[in-house]
Amino acid sequence: MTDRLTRALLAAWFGAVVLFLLFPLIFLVPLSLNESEILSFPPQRWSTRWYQALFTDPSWSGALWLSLKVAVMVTVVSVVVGTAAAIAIVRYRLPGANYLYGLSIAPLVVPGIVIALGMFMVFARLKWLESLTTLVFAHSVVAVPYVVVVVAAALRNLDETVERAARVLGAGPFTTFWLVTLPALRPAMIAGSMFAFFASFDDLIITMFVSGALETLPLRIWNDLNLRLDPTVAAAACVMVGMSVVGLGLAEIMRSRGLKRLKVDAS
Amino acid sequence: MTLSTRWIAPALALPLVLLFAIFFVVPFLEIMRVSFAGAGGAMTGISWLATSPIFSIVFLNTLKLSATVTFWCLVLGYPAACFIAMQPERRRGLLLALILLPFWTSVLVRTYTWSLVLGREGILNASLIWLGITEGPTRFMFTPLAVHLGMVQILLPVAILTLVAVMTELDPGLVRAARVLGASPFRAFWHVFLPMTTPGIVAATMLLFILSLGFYITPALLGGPRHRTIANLIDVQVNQNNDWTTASVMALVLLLTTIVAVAVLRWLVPDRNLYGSAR
Amino acid sequence: MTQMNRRDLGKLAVAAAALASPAIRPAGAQNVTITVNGSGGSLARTIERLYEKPFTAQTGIAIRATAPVSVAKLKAMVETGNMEWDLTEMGAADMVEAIRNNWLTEIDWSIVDPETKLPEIARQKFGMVTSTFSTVMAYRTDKFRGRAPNSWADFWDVRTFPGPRSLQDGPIHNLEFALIADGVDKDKLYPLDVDRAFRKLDQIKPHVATWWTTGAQQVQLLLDGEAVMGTVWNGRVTPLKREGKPVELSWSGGALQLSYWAVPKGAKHPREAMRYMTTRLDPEKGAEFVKEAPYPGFIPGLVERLPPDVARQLPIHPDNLAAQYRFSPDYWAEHRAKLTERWAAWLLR
Repeated sequence: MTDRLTRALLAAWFGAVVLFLLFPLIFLVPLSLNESEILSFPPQRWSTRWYQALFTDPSWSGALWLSLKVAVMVTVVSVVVGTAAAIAIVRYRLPGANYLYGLSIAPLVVPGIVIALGMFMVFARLKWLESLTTLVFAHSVVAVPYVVVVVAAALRNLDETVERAARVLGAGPFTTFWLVTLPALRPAMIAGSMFAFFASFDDLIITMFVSGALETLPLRIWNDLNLRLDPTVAAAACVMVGMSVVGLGLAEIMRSRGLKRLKVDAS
Repeated sequence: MTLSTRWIAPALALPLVLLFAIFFVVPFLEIMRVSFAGAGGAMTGISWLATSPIFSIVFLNTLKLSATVTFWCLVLGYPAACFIAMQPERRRGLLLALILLPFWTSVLVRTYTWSLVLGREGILNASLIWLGITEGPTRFMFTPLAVHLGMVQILLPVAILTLVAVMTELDPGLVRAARVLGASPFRAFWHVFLPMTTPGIVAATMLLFILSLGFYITPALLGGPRHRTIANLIDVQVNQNNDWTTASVMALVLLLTTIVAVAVLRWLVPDRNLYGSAR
Repeated sequence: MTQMNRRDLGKLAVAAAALASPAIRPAGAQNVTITVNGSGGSLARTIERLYEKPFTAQTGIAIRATAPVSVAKLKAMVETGNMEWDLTEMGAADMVEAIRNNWLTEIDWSIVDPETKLPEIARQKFGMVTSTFSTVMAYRTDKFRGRAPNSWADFWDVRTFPGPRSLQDGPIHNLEFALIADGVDKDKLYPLDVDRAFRKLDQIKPHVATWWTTGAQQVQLLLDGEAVMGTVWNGRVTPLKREGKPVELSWSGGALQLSYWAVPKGAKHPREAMRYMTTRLDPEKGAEFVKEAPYPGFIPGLVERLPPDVARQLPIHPDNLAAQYRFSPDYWAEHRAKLTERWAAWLLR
């Protein structure tokens, strides 16, 4: 009985939290369909002109595309680099593991503007500015910390017994990692990758200094700010949210289809 | 450990070390060098800190803000994380992605939606007046409440995700065993479940606190100048006063503060394996 | 040199009328690309269409546009000896900083404006004024039952004009506004009597609901009713009035500010950059530009080309000019750091 109650309470709590987190999204749609060029609510007149602007103005669509491209690459780099480092820190008797951990989270501590300035000066000399590669690695520096923190925490909690058993049974370190550790780390790696993705997608300060003439979405919004904050920003957000909802829906459908097939095969 | 495995750990750590050396450490050292190269160097920066009427106030405010935001994110996020962790695996990913949806929105739009709710002519005031609870509009914008709401909304997913990542590894059998052995739900939670999630709580606390220290746009837009943060001061020094020395000194103060905070955390939660190195 | 420039200007006028750019390059074109740094955003496309493309078609000099404007970047580039920009936009206060720190190159006016078309105020040693804007008082027309505030004294008069105010978070302009409200002659403001200004500000402080920091905020506060009176940039009010929102501004005691183009020290192609600067002197294009953003430069013939109701909304319209005071970037460059600290401490109290 109390279990049921606990579950119900937790579900209610979760519902409240979701409402709290997502309520800005409710406003997004009417905000983006407002004919007025001023961000205002409720809309007096409706219009899709901002969506049109988004898709016809190459500076907006280009910025969106660039942000996505960079974020995906940053996620891949960060998950690989961060997970590897987390394993080295937690699982192996690496001398100075604590210092490595400290280094891994340092980019989150140092103010963005300070890092950005330093990066700018160093890369200007090396002529590395305005390159996609530089942008990806620069973003990775602030994305990796999330992966390290989350994966290390999960790894710490992981019972080593299964891994040790695998090793005793003759599996090499790689096999053990691939078949035992990695699947168990999946939730942490997924969480880390989500953080890494948005750390890159939303980054402004570092991009401002390192990207040269390349314009990401946050930078595009920032550049417009002195002149206007018009519904295009809301439209862009709607498009992104819409796309990710669709993506999630598709993933869900594919997953349940896959499961159904498994069930059919089993029977 | 055999000889052949001794190179694994350094090899795993190498990519991070390389990436950070080139793209973080060198830039950091460079900006420090340039900032402190001028006349007086670090001393002028430190003396400014000591004599500035606002630095200590802003610094303390920032610490307080970060601590309370961290606290609320943990308290609000923990039960939510429990809920998600209890779900079957495929639904978990969905729920996590769901709470991350707002991250597609620029922080400016999100802050604007808060003003729609908290403003004088906003939804909250309209509801309170309509319900007869208040007579006229109450000030919600540009208050500590607004700042906390704004920051918690942004950081709560961080808390939830971090906690979920650790909770999903727990063996639910252990909690069930405790219940079977006669423990009340509360005892089972407090003595079995909660301690097992400690690494997650510690990790989340660290992340939340460090991230909060670096906030300045949200406190500025929702709280106004009374809720200035250190990051805002640093920004002003760089972009308005062209004073990199003071900015860098403040950055170092932040760095020091974080090191102290993490040390305090380690002292409070003295599990030796929390931060690294295998047994 | 002068002859070539006259021909250039003639060609420019033709290009302006056509507002299109032929793809052919004139014979003997240099393969130079200049980097022009500006504010970016949606105006960037207008600038590209009006100024950049015709210039490239006509001279063969390509333009690479970057954004945003950042004095920190300028300093960083000077520090590393690696100047990426050939030309950059810059605000007045930053200009004084940049000049003081020796970060700019002198403008060769024989290239930019050989016929001295621009007035004295726009032709400065290290920069050319490209646009003007004003920080003025704006108010809700529907909250005061027909009466309209028309001066900073009115702004301070909470009895006649009750309601929350909004001001920018910073001493710049606010100290001047306070002094004007206290009766100081707007042409005799500098050097500022800072103590007197802060005393006057103490009077209005409890009535200021919000201290804005961004351009988006200043207008939002008025629209949302968070404030019934506040300071805004003139260009922000124009679209509001166009949509019929109940907001109006008053030029009285407003702060006229200048925005510049400057050539940084160490620029790789300063002469080409200065040739590009010439394009801004065209009044046709200027009129076109002002329709998008009401921040005109001091271009002779500009105001005449605009319909009177548009012209009246510009900071440089003679009536408006007379009502405002001339902001002094020199004063602020010298005192900004100290006064900003004092301001922050004052606010925290």
